[in-house]
Amino acid sequence: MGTTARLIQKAGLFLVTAVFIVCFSGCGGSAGQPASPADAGIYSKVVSLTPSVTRSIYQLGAQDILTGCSSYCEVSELDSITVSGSVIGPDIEKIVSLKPDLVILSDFVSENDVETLEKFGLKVEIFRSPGSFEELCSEFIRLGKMVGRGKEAELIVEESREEVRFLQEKSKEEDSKPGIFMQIGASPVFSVIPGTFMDDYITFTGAKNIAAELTNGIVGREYVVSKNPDFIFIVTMGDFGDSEKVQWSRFTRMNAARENNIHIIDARIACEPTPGNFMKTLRIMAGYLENGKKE
Amino acid sequence: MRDNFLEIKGLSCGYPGGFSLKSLNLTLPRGAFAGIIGRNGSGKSTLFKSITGDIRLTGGSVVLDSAALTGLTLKEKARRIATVTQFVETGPVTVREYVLMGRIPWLDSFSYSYSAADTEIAEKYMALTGLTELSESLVTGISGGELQLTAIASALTQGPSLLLLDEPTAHLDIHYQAMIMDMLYRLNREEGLTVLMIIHDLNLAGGYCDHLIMMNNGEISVEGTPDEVLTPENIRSAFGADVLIISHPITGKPVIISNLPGVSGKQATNDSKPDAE
Amino acid sequence: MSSKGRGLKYGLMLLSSVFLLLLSFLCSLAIGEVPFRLVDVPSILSDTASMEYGILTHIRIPRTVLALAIGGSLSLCGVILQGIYRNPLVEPYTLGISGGAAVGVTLAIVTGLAIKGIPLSIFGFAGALVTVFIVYALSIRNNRMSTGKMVLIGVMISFISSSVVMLLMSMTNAEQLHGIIYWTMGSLNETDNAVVLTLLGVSLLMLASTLLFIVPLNAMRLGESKARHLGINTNTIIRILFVITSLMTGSCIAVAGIIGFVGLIIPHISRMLTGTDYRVLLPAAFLNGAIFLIWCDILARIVISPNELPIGVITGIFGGIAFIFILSSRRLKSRLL
Repeated sequence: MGTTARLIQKAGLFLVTAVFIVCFSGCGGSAGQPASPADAGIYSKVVSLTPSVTRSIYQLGAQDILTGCSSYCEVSELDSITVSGSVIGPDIEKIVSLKPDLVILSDFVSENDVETLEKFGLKVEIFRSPGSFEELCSEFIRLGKMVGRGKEAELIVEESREEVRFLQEKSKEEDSKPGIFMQIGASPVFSVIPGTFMDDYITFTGAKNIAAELTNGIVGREYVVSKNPDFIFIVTMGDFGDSEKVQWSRFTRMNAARENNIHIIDARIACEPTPGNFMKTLRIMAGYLENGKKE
Repeated sequence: MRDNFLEIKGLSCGYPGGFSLKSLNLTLPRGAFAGIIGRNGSGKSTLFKSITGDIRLTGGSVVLDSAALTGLTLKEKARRIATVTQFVETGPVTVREYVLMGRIPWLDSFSYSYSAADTEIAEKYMALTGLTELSESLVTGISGGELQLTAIASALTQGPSLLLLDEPTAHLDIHYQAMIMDMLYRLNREEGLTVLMIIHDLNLAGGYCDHLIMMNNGEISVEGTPDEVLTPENIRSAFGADVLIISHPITGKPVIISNLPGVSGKQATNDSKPDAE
Repeated sequence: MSSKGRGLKYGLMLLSSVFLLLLSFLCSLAIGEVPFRLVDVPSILSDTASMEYGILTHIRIPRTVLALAIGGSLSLCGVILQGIYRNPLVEPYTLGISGGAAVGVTLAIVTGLAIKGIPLSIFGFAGALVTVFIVYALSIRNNRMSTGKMVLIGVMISFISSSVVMLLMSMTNAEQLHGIIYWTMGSLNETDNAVVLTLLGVSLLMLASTLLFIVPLNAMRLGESKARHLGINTNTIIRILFVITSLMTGSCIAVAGIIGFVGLIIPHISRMLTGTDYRVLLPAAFLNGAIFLIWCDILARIVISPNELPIGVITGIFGGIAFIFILSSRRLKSRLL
């Protein structure tokens, strides 16, 4: 062969190798990815390992795109959705076998698992626990856009915002802010602290969180008693609620105990960051505060 | 007239699946100073432990001063028999505390301090064994010989009628060997303490004991006075060694002289079985 | 020093320990989120309607009493077990009791049995009992307790238990996980006064009953063989003491979770101060353990106030530092066992 031919052959080899490399690296992240985030509604097969997101998908009426969920998600049997792992541990093989175009995970999942899923060419979106009601809303809208229900999401959010504004207006009329202790754990006693969406339950009802200056939620009972809260809300799934109520009632000098303002709230509703559940919880708490103040 | 102070009849005991003694008989009079001799593995320790109670009997009886040992509680046994083992375990106690513990078998069930009489007895035996100056030292910090003396003092403090010792001088130097044997000899003569000891040094055995028990292969092969027991034939059959026996120039007791290699014409063999005669 | 002089010296030591305990108790009542002055305590106690009264009677007094009972008991168990096994690394948990209790509690939390109104302490105690039974059964051979074997079996059970607990933890959700971990770190937050008083009574009873074993324990310092030659029935005594200490440790674990190091360190420190004679050592260990745990509890409450540290963390850190300090001092080390 002549030198030119050899050159062409070399170039060809080089080209083939280059394409190969580009393709290979491209396989890592870009296969299956939509062209841009603004292209909502492209996702048709979604695995959600985050219970609040699963519920939100149902609330938006988009459950037909759901192919996989976590063992804790509440789904309808009729929708034949495959359980593909727990909230913190995705079952990678199962997820991959479902061939989804979107995998929604909570921020509990380890980075290793996220990387592994992405190596399979799957698109992964992380939904963190919102730090405020506003964040909850924006995440809801973000989800809505992903499942092609952007408009519905915005509507629901706007309704919720309206109700919140109304509540805040009403509470401005009150001159004093009651002190609230919101307990989300028993051993140890764990309080709701600022920087979480649950803190907004307290502030939106026009009250003050007695743990407002804390950065860590583990508190001693003495701290709570010394702050003399007017209301105590025990958020539980049914295990420690009654015993905690009894414990707090023994401090007869504490306002909440004296006025019988210790209430149990269902954690399944209060702890799940969806607009629907947030508003439900808010209404319940506002109701208790109304009745409590009537004394 | 021999009163049977210590009477062992048909004693059988042993380690399951291992070495055992079968149907041993032995009697000792009160005030005897007896020695058990024999090769390593001849059964001396096993016999010893069956009397102290460390090994259970599978048959036979041990009767001390008309009381069967198996019928006594550990406490009652401790009031009659005191034991000094070959290797003394140390602990975080002073010499004085160690010796005083000899009075434990005599304490009432719920008392926990020693009476003045107890202290007196302990001090007497500490003086006897020359330990008075060491009385506040920890037993972990004294020499081997001093430790052995402490154990003996403690055993004597028990006020036993029978003192059992397992090779008390085995790893001690001549100073302590002589001191201990002399002391035991005096106690035996002056206080009538009956002594039974395992002893490997045949000369010490011959010089101090008035009764020797030679063991061989789990049986008592010969018994009697040192003159009767320590003969070249007996020693050859029990130990497989050729020795010369002479008479001690002063005491007249038998003294064993081991042969130098090649002197007697008969070579000492290396096998574990002694010659049959 | 004459024995009378020695007796006086140790008597004074014990008396000062009692005084120190009283002082620590009062400090514990006064220190906290809402600081009291010691002189105010009597008046607070009479004003039953005040918030301070509530804090004092429902929080501080139960905690302090619990610290006293548990600190004293664990330390007492430790000093007895170290004497029986003649091993300076033995503490109430070496025999696997804490492992068994942890498995019991973890199982209860994971399977949801804990919710059905049965307190966690029952499961902890049951787990501890099962372990005790296993160790006991496996250690008897020819009707004799082999102490060497018991320690080995106990250590093995500890390893197996922690693996089982980790296995169970990997199958739970975050909330249960938190509960399990918090329980294993120990907490004096028991608020049922009946439980607190019962534990106090039981621990004082245990102290009194162990005083009956002073002579055997003293004799066993010289080894089992010598003790038997002195007429002590070591078999029976070891069995009885093993059962007593196991039940006591199990009760402490059931009420407060796993509080480590008290049973390991305080016996050693007590020995350094009072020597190894159990006539002084037993009460001294109890008193020192009580004082130690009361102060650990005070620290747990104030170090990162208003948050609270689990008490197992404090005892672990201080206990560990103290242990290293003891081991590096040759003079102190010679008194170890």
